Amino acid sequence: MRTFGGYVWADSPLHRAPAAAKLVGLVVGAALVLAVRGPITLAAALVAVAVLGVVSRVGWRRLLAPLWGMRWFLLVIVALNALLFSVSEPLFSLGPLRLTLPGIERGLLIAARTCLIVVLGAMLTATTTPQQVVHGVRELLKPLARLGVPTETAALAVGVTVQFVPTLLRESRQLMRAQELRCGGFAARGIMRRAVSYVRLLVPVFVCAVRRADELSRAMEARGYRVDRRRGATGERGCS
Amino acid sequence: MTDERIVEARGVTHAYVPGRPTLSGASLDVRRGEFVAIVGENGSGKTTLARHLNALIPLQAGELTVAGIDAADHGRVWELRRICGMVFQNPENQFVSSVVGEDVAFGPRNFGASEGAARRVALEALASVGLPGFERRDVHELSGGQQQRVALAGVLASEPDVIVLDEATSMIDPRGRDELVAAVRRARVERGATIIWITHDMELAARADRVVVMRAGEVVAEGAPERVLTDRELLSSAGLEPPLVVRTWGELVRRGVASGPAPVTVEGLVSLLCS
Amino acid sequence: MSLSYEGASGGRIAALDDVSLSLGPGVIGVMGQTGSGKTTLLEVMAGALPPDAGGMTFDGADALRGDGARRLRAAVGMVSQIPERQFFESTVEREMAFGLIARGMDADAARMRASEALSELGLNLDELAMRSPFSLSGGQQRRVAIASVLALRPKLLLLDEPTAGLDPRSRSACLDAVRMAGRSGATVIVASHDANALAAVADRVVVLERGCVTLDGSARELLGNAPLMREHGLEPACASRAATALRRAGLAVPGAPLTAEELATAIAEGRGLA
Repeated sequence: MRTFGGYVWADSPLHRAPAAAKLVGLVVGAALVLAVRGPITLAAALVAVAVLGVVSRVGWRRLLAPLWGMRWFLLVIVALNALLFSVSEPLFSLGPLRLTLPGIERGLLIAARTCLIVVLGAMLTATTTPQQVVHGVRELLKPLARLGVPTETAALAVGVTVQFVPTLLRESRQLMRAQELRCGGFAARGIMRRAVSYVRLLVPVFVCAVRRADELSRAMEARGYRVDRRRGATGERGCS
Repeated sequence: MTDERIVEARGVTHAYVPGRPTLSGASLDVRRGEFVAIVGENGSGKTTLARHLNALIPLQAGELTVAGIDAADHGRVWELRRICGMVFQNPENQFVSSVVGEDVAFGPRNFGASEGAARRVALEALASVGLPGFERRDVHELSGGQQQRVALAGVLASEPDVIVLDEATSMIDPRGRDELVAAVRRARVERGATIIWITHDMELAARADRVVVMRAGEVVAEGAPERVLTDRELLSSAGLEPPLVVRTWGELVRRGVASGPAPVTVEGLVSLLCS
Repeated sequence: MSLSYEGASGGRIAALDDVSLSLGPGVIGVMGQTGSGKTTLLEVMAGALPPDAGGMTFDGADALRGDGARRLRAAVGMVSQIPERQFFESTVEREMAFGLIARGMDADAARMRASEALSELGLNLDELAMRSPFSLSGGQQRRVAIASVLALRPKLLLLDEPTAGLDPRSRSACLDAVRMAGRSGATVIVASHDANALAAVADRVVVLERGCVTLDGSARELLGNAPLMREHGLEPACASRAATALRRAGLAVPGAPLTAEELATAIAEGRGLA
């Protein structure tokens, strides 16, 4: 978990599959998950993801870890749907809050879909190195190049972003720990105080990200990169 | 080293915030093939001067040419950036690709080299910094010293005449620093590259041909290390301290054990005391 | 004490392997190459990372759980690598007050403490109070970050590469403050690659290699022994490197000098002997 944002070193059909195929697979999979309506299709999607999970040989801990990180978010989604977004007969009501059965169902369905997509995403990052992802993006964009779309720039942007993500995640973890130490173990408990401490973390993380981006863009410029560069434009003044 | 001046800066002034100049009239000449160390406190304008050499910031006042190219000539900015390469402080923030070979080939590609040529010069550059066979490695798996050498290779691959290193050793360990110093030395010997090294490390500055001292946005002194690094008053006015060898010699002179001009390196100390 | 972490390969890699240390007041330097476990060791000692095996006591109580853990956390002050990255407040004054107020101190007392700590690092609170910490120079930022921890008056002060990337003025201000903290009776642990910095402040030095303590001795014994340091892949203090070179050239240089003054004395003594 040190440098690759969660790549798990293993050998499985999923590890060996080309990144472009996996990227397409993720998009298609996500679309299918969004099409899930009733309990039967949901069960089918669950089974399908579970099978993929086993095939990937990544380990459930790694695949489900992002869900734990999102638990509050998921809870909020279920609660909002259950309490606000339904017009049918409430089981219970308090002011504007109306707890309804269809609302609960809807909240759970949306949460389940989110979970499934997140697990699929985790499967992609666990079986594909950032380099492979960039390569995959480049492959997928190739046909667009013929239409004059600047695919190199897009692939570079994806590549730079992808390789920044693990660094930023690692930095955030370090910052979080450092910040906690500064409070001297008076670590925030309770949702409100925890939220405040996340805000405290956001500023340094944001500052770090901006500083990194600034330094990187300067380094890229220093090495002759320009966004408007197109084939031939620099040819006249090339180095070879 | 020849007498040809590859860098000529006259009265370069720059203010990021209007009215508060970071550089105020800095002048500097560097000869082709020379190794110049620039020293000075944080905020003395070293980095800003370095950014001008690479045309990373626009020239606000003064004149600057690198290998005859006017830094104010917008049409030739790219040429200037190829001629003058830069290695930055933080190894992690200068890579565009996590694959070593891809990253090293980035510069040549930007400067118009064909795919094959870019790959070839990238491999050559990696070999010349002592990292042959590293092209498929992931940059995040390398040590700090290796990362900085990859960054150096990325600069060398564009075949620059001048290499500017901006505190390139301050975030890596001593072993990494020694590796980078050796690789830079080799680039200088094998390619005749001109080296401009911004550093807080006085032991490193002592090995330069010439030391330039900056204070409050100006070049306040320059000369051979034996002259500049032994001038306590000058250095302390710039917030700097002479190398340990110079301080030791000062003590010896004070106690009447030694006399004469101070050496600046350990080897110098040994040869003076043994003669 | 042993600690492992999840490596990139998915396996468990021991970051610290069976490290046993007992530390008293004074300044203790921790040296080791990148990846030797220095940072991990500091984080374990700060109570931020629970070790997988082994125990840790602080002031005679179990520091890994319950009351002992709380006491450790209240007594520890940690200056992480590049600590200025943690800045988040709009002014230096608020930045300095953050840890103090989290510990329940009132605003006036916090201001006093902040002012004292800043002056130990050669800075003046009245000058800086209303400035944004992000507008300071690199050296000032580092000093403010260190002062914000010193202001807590920790009994156990941990610093991870405090001088990395600093210019000479900020560097010596930091080292002076570290030395003073050590003299005031706190246990100060400084992890650093910089033998010259440790030579200036440390009483004792511990060398870590791949998570194991391979050397443990007085600063003079270790930092003053250039061949031994090199053998362990570390850089010796500059004075010691010079002394070794002189000896190799046939000069008598008695003792293990660590500073310019000591080196000069040793050379003078060696001349007298000859």
